[in-house]
Amino acid sequence: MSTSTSEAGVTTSTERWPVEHVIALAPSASAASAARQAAVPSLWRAVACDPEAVWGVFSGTSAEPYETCVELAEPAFRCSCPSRQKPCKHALGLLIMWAMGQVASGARPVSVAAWLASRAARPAPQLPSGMPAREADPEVEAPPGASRVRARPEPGDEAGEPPTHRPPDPKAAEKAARVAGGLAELDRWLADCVRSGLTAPALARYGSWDTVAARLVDSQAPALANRMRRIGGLVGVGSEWHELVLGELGMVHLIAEAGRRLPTLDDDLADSVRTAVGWTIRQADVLARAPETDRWQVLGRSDTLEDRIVVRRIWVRGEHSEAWALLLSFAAYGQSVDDRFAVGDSFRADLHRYPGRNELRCIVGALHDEPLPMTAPPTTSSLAGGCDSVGSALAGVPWIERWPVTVLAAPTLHQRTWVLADHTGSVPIAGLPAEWPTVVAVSGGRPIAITAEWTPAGFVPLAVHRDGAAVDVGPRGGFTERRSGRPGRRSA
Amino acid sequence: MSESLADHWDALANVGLLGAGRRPVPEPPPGPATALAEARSAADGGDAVLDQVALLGALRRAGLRPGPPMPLLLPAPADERPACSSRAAAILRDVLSEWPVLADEWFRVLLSVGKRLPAELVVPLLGRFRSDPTRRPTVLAAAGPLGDWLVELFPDQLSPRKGSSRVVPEPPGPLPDEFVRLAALDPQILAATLADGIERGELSNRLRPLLVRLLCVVPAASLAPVASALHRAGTNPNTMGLALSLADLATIRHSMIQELLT
Repeated sequence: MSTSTSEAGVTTSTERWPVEHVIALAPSASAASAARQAAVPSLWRAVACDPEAVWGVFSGTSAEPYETCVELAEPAFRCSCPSRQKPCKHALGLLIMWAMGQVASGARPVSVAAWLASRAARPAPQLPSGMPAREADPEVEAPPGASRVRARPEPGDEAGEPPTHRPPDPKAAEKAARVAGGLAELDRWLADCVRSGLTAPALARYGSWDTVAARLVDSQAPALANRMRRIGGLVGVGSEWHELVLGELGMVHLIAEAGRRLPTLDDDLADSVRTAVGWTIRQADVLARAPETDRWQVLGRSDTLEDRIVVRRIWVRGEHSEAWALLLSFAAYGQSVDDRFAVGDSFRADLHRYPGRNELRCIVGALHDEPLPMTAPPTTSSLAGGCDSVGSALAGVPWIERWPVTVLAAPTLHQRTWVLADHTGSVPIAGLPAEWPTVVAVSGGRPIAITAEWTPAGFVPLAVHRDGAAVDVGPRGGFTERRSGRPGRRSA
Repeated sequence: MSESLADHWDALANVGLLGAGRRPVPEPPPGPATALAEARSAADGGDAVLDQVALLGALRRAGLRPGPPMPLLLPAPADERPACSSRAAAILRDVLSEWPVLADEWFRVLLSVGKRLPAELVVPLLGRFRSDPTRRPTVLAAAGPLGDWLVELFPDQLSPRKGSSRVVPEPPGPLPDEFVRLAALDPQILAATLADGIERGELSNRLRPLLVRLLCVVPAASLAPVASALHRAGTNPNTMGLALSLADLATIRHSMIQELLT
């Protein structure tokens, strides 16, 4: 495992999970909330991690401190607290701190070493009773490979060999079986939903969706769990909610089917399926992939609040390659999201792309210069061209939830509904974003360059580009921040 | 049997809403949907509908096309005045959040030099002052024809709230004579007088409201020397708060005037 040392002197693992994956492990929303309150470094002592585990002693407010340890591979949890919830808030809180880079590497205490040794020595666990029969499907039993993420194959590059050439990893096989079982169970639930109809009272209760999501987390499918929670939030919202929900259930069905046929899919598509399910990908493996070096224009930003975690999406596009990339970051507890890149800036950097077909998510590797205001205007397309690019992406991976476009179009009002329009047609705006009047103001009713995210509900405007400057109008997800620095504040 | 994939989707949406247990699975039109239905003939109602929904969902998304062209809005009338700089706009944001006492002067200077608000500020400012009977007309004047055009398009967000007109506070009385005399001093003498007065405790927090008003009326040429002198006076822990706060006011007012005038 490669490590790096932050300015604060904390050695951080490059294999950290996204915070959202940790939150997805919570058995309930209230457990997630309690975990966030426990993830405060001052409440902990003797916190450290190594490549296999993270541990610490929660002092908090209880009379007796709780010893907490998480084995990262499975993951498995141990805590001396009396809670019967697994994982408990202490284990989740510890993981959140680790995910946010607040846990330094350290030597394993004797108690942790003994627990990990006892786990290693035990026989492989039986799958939980009640698991669906489909998990015995021979298509599913083939392990997808322990280290599935690999560098892009280059001639003579052994790192590019398919993972099946590596020795089989029993833990990966166990995980694959658990995920496949969860997907089969999910698919049965989806069919039941359609059988009883979307107006069934049970589906109007968010708790039903939350329960399904919790079972997916147990099956190690956290991304799919989050998606189910998002779908649950759509029920009954807007006049066409049932079509939106039904379409989303269809996409989840597609992921579940694809997830049970991983060995038959080509590598890129299989990686996309794994991403949609929520398999963790090691940052080190992504950084080992061939970089894409370009001057990247920051064309859009979107902050969404997901289970009290702020998810920031920064959309950038290469000036030369015109390839889109997504820089994703997370923040909890009022912590700052990544604000290195402001809309309207550009920077020269190596971006390392996650594996998968039409994958946009990237990690910034080497930053060759500091972000500066863009000097070249963004390339735009017509609305038809934008729809073509979205359609091409969705033809490859139909379950994609958002895709960026920069179009030259004018906001206009049709039958009291706002749309973007040009000579090739019109596209709907998703809801009416709070900043929409500002989009209209900046355009003055004329065609203007607009960066937007396609979503199944319509286009979400993120930025308006005019006269070499950009106005950031992306959603803020309940999260506010100062947008202006004070130039020359203390230098009259 | 549905005649087209669009009809088939509508039929599926209907069955999905009411339940495949109560409605028959719609028969797809010839093409990929039929092929899928035949390949998965063993699927029961719920599974069969899910298969069809997944297929049509993928087809509909991948086949995304714009809707019909729409007539564009009548554009906002042109405003010949140049917009103020983005730095001046950033200073206005700071003024509104930290020194709102300077806001009226910001608009006054903007209008006096024949500039207008940048378009991206018009909506937030009209929204902020929608029920302020004195500042709303000022914002509309600074926004130009774009302001009226936007109010017409977004009356719910930007028109004055009915029956909730804000009570305008009484304007403060005239500055006491000694402060009027201070304002008329040579910039360097004024700066030294203020700094010394604060350091010696003669100008204390008790007089802060008057000192703020003083710095809002002193000539622009006095602001930079005053800010420098107050920064130097801000090393005394007992008077640091007042000195630095007033230095900040002098600095931002200086920046504001400079930026709007250039």
